[in-house]
Amino acid sequence: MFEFGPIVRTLWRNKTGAILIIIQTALTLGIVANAAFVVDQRRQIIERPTGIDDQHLFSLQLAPLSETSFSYQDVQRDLHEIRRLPGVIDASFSNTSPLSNSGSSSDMTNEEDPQKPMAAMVDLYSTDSHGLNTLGLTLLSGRFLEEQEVTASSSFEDGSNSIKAVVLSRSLADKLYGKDVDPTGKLLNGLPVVGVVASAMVSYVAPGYTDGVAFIPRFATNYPPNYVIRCQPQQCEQLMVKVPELLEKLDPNRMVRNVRTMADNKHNSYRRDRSMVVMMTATIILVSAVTGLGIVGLTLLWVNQRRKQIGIRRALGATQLAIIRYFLLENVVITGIGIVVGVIISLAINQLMVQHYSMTALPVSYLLSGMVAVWLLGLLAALMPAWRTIRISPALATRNI
Amino acid sequence: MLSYYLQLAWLSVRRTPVMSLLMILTLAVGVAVSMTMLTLQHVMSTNGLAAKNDTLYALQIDNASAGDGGTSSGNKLTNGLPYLLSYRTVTTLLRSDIPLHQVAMHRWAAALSLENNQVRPSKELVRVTSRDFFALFGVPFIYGQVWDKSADNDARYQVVIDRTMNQRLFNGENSVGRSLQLDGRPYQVVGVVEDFNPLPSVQDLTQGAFGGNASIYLPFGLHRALQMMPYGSMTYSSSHPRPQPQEPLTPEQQYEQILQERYFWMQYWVELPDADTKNAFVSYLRNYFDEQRKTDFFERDFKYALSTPSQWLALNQVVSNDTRVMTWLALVFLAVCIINTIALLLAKLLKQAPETGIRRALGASRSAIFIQNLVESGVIGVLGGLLGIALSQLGLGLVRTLVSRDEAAVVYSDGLTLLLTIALALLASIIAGCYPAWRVSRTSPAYYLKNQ
Repeated sequence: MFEFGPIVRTLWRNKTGAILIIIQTALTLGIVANAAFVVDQRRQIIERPTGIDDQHLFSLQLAPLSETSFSYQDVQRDLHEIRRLPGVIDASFSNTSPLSNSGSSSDMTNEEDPQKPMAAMVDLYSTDSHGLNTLGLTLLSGRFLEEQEVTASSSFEDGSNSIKAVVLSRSLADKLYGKDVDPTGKLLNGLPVVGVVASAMVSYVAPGYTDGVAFIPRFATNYPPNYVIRCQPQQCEQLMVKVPELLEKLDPNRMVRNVRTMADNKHNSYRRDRSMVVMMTATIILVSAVTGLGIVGLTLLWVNQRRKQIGIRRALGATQLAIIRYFLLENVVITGIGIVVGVIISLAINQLMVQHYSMTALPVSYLLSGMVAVWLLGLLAALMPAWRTIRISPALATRNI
Repeated sequence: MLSYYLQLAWLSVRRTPVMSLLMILTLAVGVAVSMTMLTLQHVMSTNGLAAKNDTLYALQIDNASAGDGGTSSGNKLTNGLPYLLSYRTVTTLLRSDIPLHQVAMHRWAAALSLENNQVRPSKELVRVTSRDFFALFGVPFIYGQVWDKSADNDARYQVVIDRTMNQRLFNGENSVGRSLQLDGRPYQVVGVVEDFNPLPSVQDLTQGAFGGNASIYLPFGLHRALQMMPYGSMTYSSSHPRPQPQEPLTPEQQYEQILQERYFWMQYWVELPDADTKNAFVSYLRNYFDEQRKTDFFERDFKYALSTPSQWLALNQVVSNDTRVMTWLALVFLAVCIINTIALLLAKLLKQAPETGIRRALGASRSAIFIQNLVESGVIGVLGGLLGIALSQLGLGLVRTLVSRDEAAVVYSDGLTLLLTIALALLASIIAGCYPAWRVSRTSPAYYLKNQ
């Protein structure tokens, strides 16, 4: 069938060039398959929904100039004034700037069944009754925290007993009580669970760092508070100037710091993943370009080298299409072998990445699509040089002999 | 002869401009991508304490709770040991006189201002440390000296600032005896030191590779007076439930618990000038550990690590796995580029084989042909290398837009990486040029003469 025999025999007699292209194709597949997998993984991490209204939120932190203790009355006054500003949907205090990847985390255990305690890593997020509406969370069952439940004390005072209620995110309730079990009304570490909200990322965005969020109505007087403000569309920008001015006016004896949108926080928290996406994508493009252009160049040289033979074949009755087919088929054979070797190289590269750099194993689907992509790349690269054989006239055969 | 070969090479490049450009670009991109990643890896593993690498050690003790099985939890390094110690442990260790110098420290933050409101108040990172910090890390004093030993045990409101801070607050004058305010409380300046800002901040990597440099240093005796909590991580871990007191504790008693119980938030460095002192320190450590193990303050068997600054950088994975993976992929990419160049160069030189045949027939030796062709590939290689250096600067520029601002400040090539780039470019071009040149020099002249 076709010219398989002659192609393989020709390549065999002129091995070096073909072998080089085979190795090159194999390495290219190794890079493309692994890099594409990493890119996809990181993109999935970056694009996970946060579950909060992160496009319309900003936060700021207060820092005292003198006394190190904050009064909750001041915080209530500040928040009350902020909520009255036009453009503000709601505002609440918190222990951290949401999505900043820093906050307070703790192990919690549900010991309802002492034989089978269920433990989870918890993102402990302090807020008030406005926390639900400020973050834009959905209440699934029970209720959210209430204003009179907020307790204000130094973190050195015995705080754990004074917490009057806790609201869990769905993912945390799943981990502590079982899938879709409603924990409302139960006790967690002695704290009454009063409600469940939809799963969301609040303090942390790092995947797997915590199992979910526990909202507690607690104000620590010895830590600088954060205010989280939810604005109407397009209002954040002006409010990020107005709110600090307002706070300055209410009490000049403090600094307003770290005025940041949640979009910025998200951007910073995902910086590593994003740079990996950019660098890996650049590598994929560059390696495809180098290999593609390399195949173009080499096929062009081969076409030029064989002009005389092509002329003879044409003179003996081969059609232009048959000549083009010959070169494409030759390319298919070479990249085909390269791809087979490339599968081994891809798996080897991936194995090294898994062993030494704690990456995940390469799924077969990426290998398969990588194979198709590299194969198509080779074919496309050979198309233009092969097309140029059309211009070789059969008359060439009659010259120079 | 060489200049003649160079002339021939240049003619040959000119004759096939597209092909030559393709080869030059391929080599350049390969060199640029791998050099960008190698430079990133190089600057991230810069050891600011290299001069004292043989005598300084960061201390880790296995103070994890008995039930703690995982090695991957957030408060441990890759050697499976927690990286933070408790206040109780470090204050006991500080009493030993075996190490030449030793430092217990943590990060803190405070609002900085001057009484006369001459500077705009700002929140500043503060290093709370025992007094050996400056001697151990080799930070010289410009004015004044370190606080008295008593300030590491009792509350003395004294402060040491660095040159930059002194410039900002006091216009660089001798500020010893003057005062600054932290959280509204006055502190007396007792000394001004040179800036100590290694990047990465090897002395403190607890808050990322660049988060450990402070311009303000406070003595270690202020904890109780200020109820200091770290500006950074603090973990509590114990397999026993926290003791529930009968009556509610006062804040002072609560804070004392943080100091005396299994709360981990301190870093410890020791300077051990020779093997004997090191052994003595380890056995001292073992005695202390075994004694505390009896009272169950330590819940696991004795395990420790003393890491040199370079080991410390590695343990903290300052060069992230992501960077390492990218570097390896970049090197594979360079291999692809070199192979690509070999294939193209080989095809090109073989095309010129008839000319070579004539030269051979006219009496040129094989080595002469080899050298002529090697010069031709060398020209391509050098051009590719030069372009590669330029492109790698572009690559580093791209990296700077991707990383954090602190990191971007160090992502520049230095003399070493520039030399390495040139070496890599030359090596790549020699590898790429040798085989094709050798192949062509082996061709038999008769075959090509026959075809003319």
